[in-house]
Amino acid sequence: MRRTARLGTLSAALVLLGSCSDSKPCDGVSGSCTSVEIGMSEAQIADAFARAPANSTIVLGEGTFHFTNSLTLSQAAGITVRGAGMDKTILDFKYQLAGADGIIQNSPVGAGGSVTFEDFTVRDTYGNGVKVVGATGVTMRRMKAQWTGSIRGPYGLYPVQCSNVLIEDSVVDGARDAGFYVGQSDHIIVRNNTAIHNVAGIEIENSYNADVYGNTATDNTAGILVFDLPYLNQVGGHHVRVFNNQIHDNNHPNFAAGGTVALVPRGTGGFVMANHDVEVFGNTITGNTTGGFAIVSYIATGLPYQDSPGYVPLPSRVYVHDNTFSSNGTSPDPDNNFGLLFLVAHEVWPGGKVSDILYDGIVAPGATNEQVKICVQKNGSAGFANLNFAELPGVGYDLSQTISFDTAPYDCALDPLPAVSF
Amino acid sequence: MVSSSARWPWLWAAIVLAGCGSSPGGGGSQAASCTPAAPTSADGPATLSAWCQVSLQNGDVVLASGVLPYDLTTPLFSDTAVKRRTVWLPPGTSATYDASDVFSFPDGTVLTKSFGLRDDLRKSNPVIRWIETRVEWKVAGSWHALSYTWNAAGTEAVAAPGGSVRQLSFLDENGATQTAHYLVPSAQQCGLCHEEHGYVPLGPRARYLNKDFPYPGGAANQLLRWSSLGWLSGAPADPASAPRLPAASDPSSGTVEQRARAYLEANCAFCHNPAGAAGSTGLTLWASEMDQNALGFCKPPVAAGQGSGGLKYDVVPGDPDGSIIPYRMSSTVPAIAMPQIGRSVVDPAGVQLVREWIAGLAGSCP
Repeated sequence: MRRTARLGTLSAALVLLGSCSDSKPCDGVSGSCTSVEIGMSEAQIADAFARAPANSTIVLGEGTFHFTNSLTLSQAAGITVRGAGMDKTILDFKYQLAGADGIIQNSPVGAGGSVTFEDFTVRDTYGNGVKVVGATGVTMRRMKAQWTGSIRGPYGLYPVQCSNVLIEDSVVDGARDAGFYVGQSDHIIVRNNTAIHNVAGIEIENSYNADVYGNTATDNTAGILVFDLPYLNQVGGHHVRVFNNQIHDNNHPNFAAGGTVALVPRGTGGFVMANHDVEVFGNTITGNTTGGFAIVSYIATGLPYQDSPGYVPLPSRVYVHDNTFSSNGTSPDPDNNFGLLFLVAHEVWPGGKVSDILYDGIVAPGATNEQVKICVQKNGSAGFANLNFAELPGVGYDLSQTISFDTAPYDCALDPLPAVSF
Repeated sequence: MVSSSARWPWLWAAIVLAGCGSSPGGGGSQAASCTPAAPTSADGPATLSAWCQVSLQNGDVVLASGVLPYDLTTPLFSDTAVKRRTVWLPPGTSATYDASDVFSFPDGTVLTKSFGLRDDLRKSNPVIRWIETRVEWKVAGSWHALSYTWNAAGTEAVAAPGGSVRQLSFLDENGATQTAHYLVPSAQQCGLCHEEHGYVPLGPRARYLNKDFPYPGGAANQLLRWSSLGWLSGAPADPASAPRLPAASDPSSGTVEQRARAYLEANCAFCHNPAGAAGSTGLTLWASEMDQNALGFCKPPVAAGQGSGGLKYDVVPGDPDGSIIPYRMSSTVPAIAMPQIGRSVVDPAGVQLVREWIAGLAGSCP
């Protein structure tokens, strides 16, 4: 009797222990929820992603999950995909055979509902880490997209043609194009993220109404880019604020395989290209060896744009103020046409380094800065140079003949842009 | 008759076994114990046999009574897979013709497509390893889709909503061994291509169907046959008045440009159009697209990454080696290969056709 009773106690304890280890990732989640755990087949996990109903949650347990195919997420509105933590749940795609992205959710533009990804890592995808097309209400939080070996995908966290996009507290490490990339979207907040070892750390492209703040971009080829490119469905990027970011030591060799970012010289803090209404302030931009921050036209790329409907290749109403610049432009990239240009002019520029803030100076014929409104002021001791690229051909491509350090035409202020909310 | 039986062994089997010619497809030989019924649920049954549309017999697809086979002028290349397509409409119903979009089918319509990989592309009677049968059906105005994967014996196929990757080897046209990582797409992956504000079938459009099919009893134009069965209303009485996409593989059906553009439409355009999954690229590959930038002429890629191969433009007139499109068509690396899903081996004929087209284009890029 006694022995039985004792054993009974023991088995009760075992049951309790068992129930602890049997806890499901979905425990405590209200509403429809699917647990994804180590031991499930790839087909089962793919099925959970493919058929997730509206307003449901997919909870990923701890561990490293391997995939041979992209995970295609249901278009149903309001899905949350949640892991156990950025470094606890790893979706690994290094054995990928089909599809290129890690996770993709694709909806017709404007038709997609909201979607949330949080607390997990997507690793070593051949294509993009997490791609979302056409959604309204994209949240990516405490996510990591990472490449650890020779496989490198283009974009890490990649909402495109979306609206109401929030990316925060996330990390992208090793993207061959842009770590954080928001393209052809509207109403965007990218904050408190870390971009490291990417070609471009953070890129806002052909997008409207974006706040990019509190991020750290380091050891990328270029830190933060605000681009507008021709021939896309949405052109005319505008109302972008880049503020209170740490943009330092972005001196990684450019390993892009092509595309516009392949043109970016190593050692670039940031670029604004062909957008209007951009405000850059409160950033610390240091140690970027080609240059701190540049304001350029698409014309400077030498690529065609002329017949892109509605496309304006020139930047306007760009206000760069109250930033801290130091130690930029000390060693321009000699392996890049832009960098080479800077290098050639390096010796003629005062102070033995390229200026912190560069403007290509290409404007519509006859336009003055009163009209264009490139405004640069209150950036401490930061140097400013207007390269006057447009005049280069006339002087035999001798930058030393065109460059101007006269800040007076650009010493102006613009009204602050409104904060993004949605 | 010999060549026709070699080309259509599956149909030949159906003819031989068919009891009478009263049903649309000339009949089928599937178990007489079932007849197709109009689906009423958005959820597909767990097994393909429950559909009573197609089965496998003697190594090929056999159609149930009343199920009609069809094919397309230029199909999608799917790792060299042979495909058997079928359509079935509930009795007394018909689809409405449309000159450009997918026909408007009635509720209860069932389409199937069976995919099999041949063991040897040089053989006229190869062994076909049947992998999956995809079923599309319409209920309450909406299309649904599900793939069923075949068991090794070919006796049953079971629903595979999560998809899978199958490794299969075959001998190519040159007798060389190739290994495909054939993708059975997940239910949601289907939507990457089949999406036009809701799931839609891609094939049953006038310009793809407007060709002869070797029906039992003689070849006939598919649009005419569908119309004469009462399955299609509103089609032009003369197929010559209906649009027709050239057959990429048939030099007699169009110029190199027309056939290359047909190939790009069938293989690329359902993503590469302004409303498609690849709409963000600005590349539009409908055969009807006339805007040269949209077609990729001297157009830099947006998000190609490694896929650009360091090349500057999607299409450089006169320079196939300098053009990204044939570069991506020629790759099997997931980061580079296009289409992104559904192709793990190269289609040499498709690459050659597109290269030929680009080589013949006049002009240049900056």
